[in-house]
Amino acid sequence: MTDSSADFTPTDLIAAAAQVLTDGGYHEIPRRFQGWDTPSSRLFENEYNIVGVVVFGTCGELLQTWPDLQGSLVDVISRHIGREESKAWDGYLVLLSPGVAPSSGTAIDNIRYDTTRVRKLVATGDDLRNPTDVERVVRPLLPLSQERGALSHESALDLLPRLLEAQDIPMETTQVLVDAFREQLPLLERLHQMRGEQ
Amino acid sequence: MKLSGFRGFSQQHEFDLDADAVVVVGANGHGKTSLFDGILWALSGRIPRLHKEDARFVSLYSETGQMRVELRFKEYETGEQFTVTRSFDGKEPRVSLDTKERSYEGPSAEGRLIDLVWPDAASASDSGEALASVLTRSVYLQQDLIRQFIEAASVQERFTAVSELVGVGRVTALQANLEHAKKAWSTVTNQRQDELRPLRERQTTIEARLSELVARSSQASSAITPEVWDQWWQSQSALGLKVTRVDPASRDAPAAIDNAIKQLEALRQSSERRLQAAGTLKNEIAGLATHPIPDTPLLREQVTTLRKQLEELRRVATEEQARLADLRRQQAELQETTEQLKALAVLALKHLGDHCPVCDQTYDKEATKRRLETMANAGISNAHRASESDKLTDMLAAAAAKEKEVGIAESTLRSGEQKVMEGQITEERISQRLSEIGVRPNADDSREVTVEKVVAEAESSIQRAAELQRTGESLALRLAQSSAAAMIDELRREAEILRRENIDREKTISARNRTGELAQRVIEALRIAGSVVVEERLREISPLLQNIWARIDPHPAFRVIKFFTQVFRGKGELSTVLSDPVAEKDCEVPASVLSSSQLNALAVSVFLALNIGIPRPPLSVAILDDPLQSLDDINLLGLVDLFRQTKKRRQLFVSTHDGRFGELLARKLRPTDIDGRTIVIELEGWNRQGPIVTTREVKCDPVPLRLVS
Repeated sequence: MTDSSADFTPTDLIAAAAQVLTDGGYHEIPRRFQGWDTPSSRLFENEYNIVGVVVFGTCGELLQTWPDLQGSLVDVISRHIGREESKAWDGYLVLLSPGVAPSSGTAIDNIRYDTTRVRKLVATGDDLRNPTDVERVVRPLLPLSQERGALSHESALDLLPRLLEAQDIPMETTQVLVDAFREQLPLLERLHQMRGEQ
Repeated sequence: MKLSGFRGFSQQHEFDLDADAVVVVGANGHGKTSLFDGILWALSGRIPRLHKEDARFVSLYSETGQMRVELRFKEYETGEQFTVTRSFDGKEPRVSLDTKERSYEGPSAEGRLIDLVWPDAASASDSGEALASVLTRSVYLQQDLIRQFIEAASVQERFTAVSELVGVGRVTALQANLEHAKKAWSTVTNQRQDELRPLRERQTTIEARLSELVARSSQASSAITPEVWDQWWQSQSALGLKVTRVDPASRDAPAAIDNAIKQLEALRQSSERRLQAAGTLKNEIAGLATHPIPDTPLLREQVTTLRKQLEELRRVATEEQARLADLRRQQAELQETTEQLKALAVLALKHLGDHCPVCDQTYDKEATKRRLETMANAGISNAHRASESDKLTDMLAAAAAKEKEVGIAESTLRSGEQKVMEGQITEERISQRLSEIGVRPNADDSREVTVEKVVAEAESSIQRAAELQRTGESLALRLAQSSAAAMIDELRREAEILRRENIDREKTISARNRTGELAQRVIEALRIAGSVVVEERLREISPLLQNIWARIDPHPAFRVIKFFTQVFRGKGELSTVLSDPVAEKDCEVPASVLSSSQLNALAVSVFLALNIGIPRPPLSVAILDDPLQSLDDINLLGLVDLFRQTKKRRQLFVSTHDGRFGELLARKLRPTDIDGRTIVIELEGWNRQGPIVTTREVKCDPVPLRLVS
């Protein structure tokens, strides 16, 4: 087990997690709950999920205490949500540590692959090079952002003037052809007219 | 959606799909895939992964032997609805489309459907196939082909498939249209070029003709003065010609001169004929004077006298001939008697005896013998007859001489009569010719004098006509030269117009060529642009793919994924590249590092990235047919969480064969407010009538936030 050697602190991680989740539409629960009351833990909720985020100083601490924290989170959920309610199935535990995992990393993977009770999202110093990496860890809990990775609403034809300009075709020329194509006008005639030849 | 006779649904089933999420739960073979295939078939008329023949989709247990799928759509933004119904009666497929405005059938329905759902497919050679391709790449993830895109398809096929998705089909269509238009443009330009060639030749011909005329015009004589012109026309009038005087500048002047000269020529010929006729007359009149007419009555009297003399001679001779003939007859009879007696005498001498053989009397034998011998030697003399014959000959000779004399007299008479007749004919001809040349001799002048006057007049007319002809030809030549000057001006104008027209045409052709060259450059640029668009679009989608992949996070090392595109030998290639950011390792063949479960997760990630990444998909729907097979629990949870987020962006259809997982999906995809809707369709107990369908709605959480409150 190795202590943390990262350039950021647990506070940086908890702050980053809180920021990412609230930006993603989660509400931070300010209340303290029995068993879920540590300075490095936070509780968040949206219409689907209840997310507990805990930051550990070292991986050893993480490996040692996460089952208790999972139990505390499940208690919090069960106290507020009926067993048969769908939301009772939507608890998530985010376990973060700037410390580097043991060399094999198996213990950390075991937590990740343990799907009993709540789903665990785990990240250590191996994955967290800086606080912004927290966003990648909690991404499964975030909405698919509209602006990220979606195509511009321009059609392929709209892109052509810019693309063809790189091949020395004036934008006006391409635009005239695209417009004529869309309006089903004679292409060459329009091009000819644009050149002022008629 | 209503299904009947389609694949696993032998009888009609109606499904309420109007929900944000539809979870279809059913064991394998209970119709989950048939349900989703119904959507694909209704829209595109085909199920590419199965068969091309519609007959193969008809349920074996269809009571009618037909199949029918009816789908009602609602436009997400406008709320407008349309219904597409596709059926197959065992022989012919049919399709209809009902919109708010009107109903469509057959090809028009297909066309309108394409317009409504995927206009980009309209430019494809087979729009239904293009639509089916796009649907199966970005809308409907088929169970059988869940990993086909990342495993089986070649890098080029992947690139082509994605090209359709990102709208490059329209770029390709533009390129094809431009190529076609360019070809037609070049054809017309070449035609213009061909048309210009004869015009250039014409210009050259005109300029050569102009040069020739200009060279000749330097030899032109002086212009025609009005006095000369007028005098010439007056002279003709004086000759009695009916000519129409025109102005020398008139366009009709050459024709008028030509006409006048022809009249002069006619006059001259007429005068020459008159002169010739007069000359002949003159000779004939002179001939009459040198050949006197013989006295034919006298000649006729002489002939009559001679003929009488001849007749007399002939009568005398005839009588003599008759007499001589009678004489010859008498002599002949005498000679015959003599000959007979002579023969008797010879015979008697031969048989002479003592007694007469006739009377048996005695006789003087010697005397008888002498007598008989005398008789036997007797002959007739012809001397008299010869003299008579000479006399007749003389008479005949006299008659022949007279006959010759008569012949000569008659010949002289005929000759005289001939001359008289000829004289009369000549007289008549002279009278006629005089009449023909319009001469009527007056009493004062003899015919010779009259004819002499005619000759003089004709000679004068010929001379005058010839002079006027020469003058007229001179005038015509000067007119022609004036006309040549006008023609030079005209040709100069024509050459100038033609030169300008040809320059304009050359400019037009040159401009058309420049436009064609520009179009060709655009075509070349479009070839590259298609690939660039795909690259750019995939570059835009790559973060979304990474975003989705990270949510499932199936691999502990290969946590980064991106599309890699390149154009190789003019063909685009697309790979899905996995990266280990810690170890800085890349892998372009995911199957070599991912398990089957992880590959499924990758396939779903790529599908959802394309589904969500396309701004205007054919349907705002993601259909995943049993995508959860072989996934381990952690990946499955990650995928379900992903579906929950997808539901906010797309209407979501997910099927599963696992009832427990179906329940998990139903809970996870539950509506969070009363406007949301999640439906669970359970397909149970399939029999020959189809599956037993149970539909239930998942209730929304009345108080979604528990801890916050």
